[in-house]
Amino acid sequence: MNPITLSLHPAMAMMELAPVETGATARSDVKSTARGGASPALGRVLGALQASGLAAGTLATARGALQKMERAASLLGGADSLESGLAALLAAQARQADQRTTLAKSQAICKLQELKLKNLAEREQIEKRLEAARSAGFWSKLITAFKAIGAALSAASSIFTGPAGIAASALLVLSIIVSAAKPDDWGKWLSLGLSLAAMALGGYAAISNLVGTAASAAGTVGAAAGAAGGSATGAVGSGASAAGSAAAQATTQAVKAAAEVAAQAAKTAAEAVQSGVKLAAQIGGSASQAVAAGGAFAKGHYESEGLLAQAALAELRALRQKLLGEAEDEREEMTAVIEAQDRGVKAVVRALESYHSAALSATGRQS
Amino acid sequence: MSRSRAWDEVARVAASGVREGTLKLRDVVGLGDDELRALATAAAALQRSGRHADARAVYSLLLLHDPTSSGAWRAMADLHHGVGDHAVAVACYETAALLGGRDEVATRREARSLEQLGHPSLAAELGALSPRRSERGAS
Repeated sequence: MNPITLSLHPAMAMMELAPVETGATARSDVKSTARGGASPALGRVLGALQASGLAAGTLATARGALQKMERAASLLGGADSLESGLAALLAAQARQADQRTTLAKSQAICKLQELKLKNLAEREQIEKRLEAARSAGFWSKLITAFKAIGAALSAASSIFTGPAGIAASALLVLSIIVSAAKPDDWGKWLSLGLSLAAMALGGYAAISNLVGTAASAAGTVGAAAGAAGGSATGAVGSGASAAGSAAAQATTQAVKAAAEVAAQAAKTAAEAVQSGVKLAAQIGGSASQAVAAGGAFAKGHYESEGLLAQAALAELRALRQKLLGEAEDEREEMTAVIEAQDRGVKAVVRALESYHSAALSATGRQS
Repeated sequence: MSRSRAWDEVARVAASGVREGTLKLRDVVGLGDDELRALATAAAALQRSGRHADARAVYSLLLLHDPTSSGAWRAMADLHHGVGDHAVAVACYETAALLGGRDEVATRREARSLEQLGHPSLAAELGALSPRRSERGAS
């Protein structure tokens, strides 16, 4: 492990982060979490660990690591918070190591560049393995065997709990399919990008569950859907702030935090999809355009831009038709790919609606 | 908490790297080796005690930390193999193999999952890819 910790051990670095810069108000600070104010789901995991008979030292280290990762995940939440969150983290690390100088800063940038190169080299190695896997022919047979991709995806959805997890699983399986179905370069990159996107999505879905939002929101959606209707999107912030009475304060805060984390998860989902196809999009091709349109659709929905979302969806459908027309010999595989992607995008959108509906319903009950 | 603005530039580089996929979360806010070991131990303990969802959550965190960790994918695969989620197990085993190569035990388990899924011929073919025959390194 070689994080850019500037020779200091990373332990405790997260404990010094600014509490609100990421917008993760569910955690007023990490210290309070360490004192026992962990989110319900994280608390559940920690409780299970407590009862698992782990050695005290291991338990303490695992608890600290889980809390660090919970906090770190919030850094992935949005375009603005990532920079500020990372800046706070780096500054904290530098303080710990007493490295406040310009030299330390330039060293950190150099270290990051080194790590980028290292990761790119690793990626090249993965590419070679992709080639080997393709040459062996096993993957194409695997894909053929999994022609009933719907069943596979249904099972795969259990990798990560929650609707966003379904999207993650879909992307994961999709990446395997694409790499097997498309022998040229962009297919290779697309596959790798989708794999990474799937991992990011899945990881974030797990985080969402850990902080106790995804499960509760999904559970509430049935009751909330009727009340919230289609206008729920975008009402979270105003709804939460409107419920300002002292009695409702705690619940409001929790709902608002849940909505924020959910929104972060959704935004991350859209960004992950988009970043996952970035390389492929540079090369071009109908499939990459179609996948990128899927990301835009989810993002549009998140941003409450109904028209944008509809336009993006129309674009997505048109691109898919074009793709099907261009790939007659692979129509069956690509249809499966498209259907899988469709389910993934829809799952993300459903997750968004669930979160918004649940939050709106809860705030409505208070006010 | 105040922070030095001097680190904003570093943060921008880090954030762009994370976004474009050239930096992992591990590279920026990495856990130490002792913490990773503790998490792996904790996940295994949860798995042994039947708390599969919690174990899965911890493994997911490890994947978030380093998405190219073949060990984490392998652990996730074993978890799903153990509870009978064979399609998921196959997907995870293949991802682990892609990232770190095949090992004999994982190959055997994946083959069993393929058999459970009704693909014995594919399971047999997978056997031909085992490290003993192909001499590929284990992860």
